[in-house]
Amino acid sequence: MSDLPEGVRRRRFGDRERLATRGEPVYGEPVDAAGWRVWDINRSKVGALLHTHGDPGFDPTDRVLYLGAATGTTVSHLADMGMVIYAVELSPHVADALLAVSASRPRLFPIIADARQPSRYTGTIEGGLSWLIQDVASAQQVQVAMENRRFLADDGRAIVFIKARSIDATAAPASVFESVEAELRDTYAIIDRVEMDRTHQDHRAIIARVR
Amino acid sequence: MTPTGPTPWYGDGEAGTTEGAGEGPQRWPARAVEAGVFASEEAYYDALHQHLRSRLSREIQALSEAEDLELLRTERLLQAVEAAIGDIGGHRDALAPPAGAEGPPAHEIGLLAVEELHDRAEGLSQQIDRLTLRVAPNLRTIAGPRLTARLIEEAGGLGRLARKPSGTVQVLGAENALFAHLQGRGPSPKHGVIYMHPAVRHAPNADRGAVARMLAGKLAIAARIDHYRGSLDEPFTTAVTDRLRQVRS
Repeated sequence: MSDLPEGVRRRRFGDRERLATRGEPVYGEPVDAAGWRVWDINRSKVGALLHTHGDPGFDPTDRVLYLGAATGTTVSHLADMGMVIYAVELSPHVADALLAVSASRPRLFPIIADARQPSRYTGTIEGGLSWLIQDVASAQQVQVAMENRRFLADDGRAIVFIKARSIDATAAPASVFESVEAELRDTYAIIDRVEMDRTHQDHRAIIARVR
Repeated sequence: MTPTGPTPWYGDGEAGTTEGAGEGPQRWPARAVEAGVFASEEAYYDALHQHLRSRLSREIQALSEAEDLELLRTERLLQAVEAAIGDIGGHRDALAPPAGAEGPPAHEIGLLAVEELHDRAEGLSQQIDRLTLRVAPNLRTIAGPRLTARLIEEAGGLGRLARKPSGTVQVLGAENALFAHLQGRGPSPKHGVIYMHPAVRHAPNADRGAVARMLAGKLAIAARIDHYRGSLDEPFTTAVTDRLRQVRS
């Protein structure tokens, strides 16, 4: 795996090298003279994954279904990289933030919908996508990943951020991850797993390929 | 093309919501171009972007309308709870401990009930605090959460408040006095619920009408910013709060 995908660079901000993409700033993040804006790895799990693990194989021509877009920080950086992003978020309370980040990004598509009911958006989101990126805090994270498999191409891949505490707050994270992976194997072949503890406690990223 | 599949957002059906049980999604960009709906995939994406963004704007609009009604209901509920607390307090004598009775005396039950009602009132106040921050940030900065809720409740919603002239805002909640005055009985009311504002309440009697008139004017503007723009206008609210502080000193 190469270090960083096209469109993402490490740039010097103050006394630190930080991850950055080029685009309109959205949350008051630092921007340098050349127009690169900081991708805060403490606010974005995909950012943290790129920073610690390297490129999972992103390409600027990729088309992505992102579940759990929240206020749109991560999807804004992915859109800066040139990808087509369908950003699905359940909570209508962040709709204004999504509206703001999508204003200057013509290939960022904000959708307020429940990721547990993908049939609600099959008429809006295209099939044959390159990536499913999922960051939802729900006890049904695994079902969501399986249900939304339908949008992926046959060679599509998935990055699923598993939040152990959302699935079972009482069990040990390790055993939660184990059972999650066992369930996922029906639909996906697991390529890699990355512990996110440095920035996001009790989170694991599972990188998988469609089976 | 599959006749039972999901309907595309650009089609005739209810956009993007048709259930296509068991059906996979389609490669809409290519299909739309093939069908001649869009000249290119770029044009398809441009149209989809516009479509989804305007849908999002409508959802935001609907949400904030629902929130201002939630605020109104919360305020009414809080008023009812406060009235109940006052009611029980007013019956303190009747709730006095009876001589030689078994079990918890009535006044203890009364105290417990009041305590519980105070908890409820506290919860509702916090809810008003949160809702006003979202629904009416400008009014809230000038008038505080509670008076903001009162004004929206009296007017029957933020939209209605925003359409009221400042003279009406000034006497909202003083309708009895106003109509009595209009029928030739009594003086014109100087203020309604805006009396709750410290600048009005603490003004010397002779200035109170003038302060109420000025405050009502600013609140009417704040309500319009809140309703039609929806975001906090700090230069405006700072100017108003400075002005009110001057009045008070």
